[in-house]
Amino acid sequence: MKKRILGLGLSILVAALVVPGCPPVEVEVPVVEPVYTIRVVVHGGIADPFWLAVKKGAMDAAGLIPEVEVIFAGPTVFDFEEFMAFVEAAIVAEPDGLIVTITSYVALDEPLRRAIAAGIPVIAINAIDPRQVTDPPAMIPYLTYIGECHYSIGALVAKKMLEMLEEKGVEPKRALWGNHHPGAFHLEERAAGFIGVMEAAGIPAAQIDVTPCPVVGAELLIAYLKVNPETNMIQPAGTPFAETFIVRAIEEGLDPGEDIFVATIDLSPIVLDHIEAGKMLFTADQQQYLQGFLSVVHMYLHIKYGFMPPPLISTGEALVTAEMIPEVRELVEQGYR
Amino acid sequence: MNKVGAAIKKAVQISPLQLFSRMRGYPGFGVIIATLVIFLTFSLLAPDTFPTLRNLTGIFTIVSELGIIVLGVTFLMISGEFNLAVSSIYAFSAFLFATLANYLPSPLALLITLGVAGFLGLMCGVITLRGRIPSFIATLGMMLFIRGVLLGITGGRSITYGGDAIVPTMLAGLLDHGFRPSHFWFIGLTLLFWFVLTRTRYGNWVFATGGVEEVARAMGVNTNKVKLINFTISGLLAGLSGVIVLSRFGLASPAFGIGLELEAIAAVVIGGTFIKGGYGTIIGAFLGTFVVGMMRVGLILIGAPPFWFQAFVGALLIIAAIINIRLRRLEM
Repeated sequence: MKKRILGLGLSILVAALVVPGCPPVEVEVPVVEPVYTIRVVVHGGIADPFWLAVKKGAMDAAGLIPEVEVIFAGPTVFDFEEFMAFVEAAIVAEPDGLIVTITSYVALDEPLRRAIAAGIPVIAINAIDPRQVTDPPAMIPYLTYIGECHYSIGALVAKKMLEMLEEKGVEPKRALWGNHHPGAFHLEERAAGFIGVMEAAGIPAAQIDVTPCPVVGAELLIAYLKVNPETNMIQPAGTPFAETFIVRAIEEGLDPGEDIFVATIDLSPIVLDHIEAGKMLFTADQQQYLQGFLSVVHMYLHIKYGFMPPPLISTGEALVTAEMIPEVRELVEQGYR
Repeated sequence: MNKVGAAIKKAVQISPLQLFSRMRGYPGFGVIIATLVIFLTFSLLAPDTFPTLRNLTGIFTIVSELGIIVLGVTFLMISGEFNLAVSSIYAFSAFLFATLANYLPSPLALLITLGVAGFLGLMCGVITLRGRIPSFIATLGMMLFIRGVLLGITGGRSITYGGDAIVPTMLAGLLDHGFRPSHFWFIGLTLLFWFVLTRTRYGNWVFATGGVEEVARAMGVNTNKVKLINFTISGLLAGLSGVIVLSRFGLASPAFGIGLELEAIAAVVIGGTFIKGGYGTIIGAFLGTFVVGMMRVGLILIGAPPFWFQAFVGALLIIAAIINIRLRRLEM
């Protein structure tokens, strides 16, 4: 009995110390359970820093909207068949909204129309149904497309290269565009934009297949330069290819930033180093964090309030040049770019 | 007439047709012709750029990196197995070496990397043989697994090499006229593997294992042991090639080597090795790698649409496979 009284007394003492002098106030924190499930399916790879930023955008948006649960999926590395399996699985799960990359409008036409007919609203990100531009009535009837305009970003790279060469007082002679997935619509469109602007400026431009391997790609670009030594503008095919190409170009006795001018699309720490060191002119940034973030926000607003987003939301074809590097590097490390 | 004179007389008596008939029985015959034809074709079509020393040493560089992998794959294919994981082991080894060399002397980092690469090759063999599943499936799984782990660890980002210059200089430093140590490593390893395959008992075991395995076992050949050794060699050489490529670029990307496993198999088959095993040559594989390398660069140099590369290699692969089957029938 004595022990019990002692124990009770100690408990009261501890309670008094822990909650000094004020009566307990019960604060009711409303716990909101997610009521809307939004599935995001991308063509990957989801381990790629590029897609990690898209995922972060989608998850950050979900974090701000407690009613929303986001499930993000895609193949580890680019694999179209696996991506299609993820899309089918997402449709079968009957989410409240589906956000998807239109990697192939032909392959996705039937399943997405089926999903939309079943009442699942769809938003396209990153890769567009090209018919939205060429033949709008025939396009997959998704709510909106959020991402880069592929042709425009290719054209932007060409315009900025020409502009920077003019500033440097260098005559543009020939341009080259590397493509690591020939036949992929968005890459072909980017190439068309780049070549279109170059040719309109009277500069010969070509596209070559650099294969998915950056080691082989660098050799192929160098081989092209041997045949066409007047080439002084190159977009090697994304960041891994820019990284290997710069090394090979220097080895071949070229001086990137002086006699050959390199730009690319997307960001990587090594590419930022090259831009800072003057070996590359710039990189184009499609701000993919916004593709994840805005798509979830617009999907939520549509599901809950029926708002209709504008049919095309460009995430902005931004450019990263040398003077922007410190700020951008911090954002890359934080996973926003 | 002495013996030498008799031998010369006998040789002179062989008609060109008989000589051709004898030569075509050699498994590397097709690829020797293919190498010459492709070299001459590109040299004629791009005389100012293709046959230059600088271009040929450039081709030799990519051929050496692919070829070192091809040597291991050839041994394995002659013994009747595949290793599709070589491309992932190649990329993984580049990363591992770069990471280790930041803390350790590069020769030690190289030894550890080769040990790990060999172990990964051995694991491919163990899974294939213990699991009793086709090596095509087992190594496809390992290829995806290793690449996935690599992507997971790196987050898809490239890393730069920050170690000492010993190994990079020893393996890939640039010499005069575009020559590199990797060229000599490739030639040296080719000679070593040719010797082992054609002049040693182990070489006979490799052929026997890939031929009729039951017969090989009945003759006392431990076929599983031979296969495990060859799986280990294929992993080890893929690792060496990965370190060479890292040494050349000073950086490693998780995208390195994507599709390399199929190019390696294509080079082996073009070189005269039978896809089902039991037959093949190291010299053929050596030349088969040159065929792939010359086509890759040559098509660009002659101004052909480079998108056609895969079509050319595909057609050549089919032709090589048909020639190999016909040659085997002729032998029977």
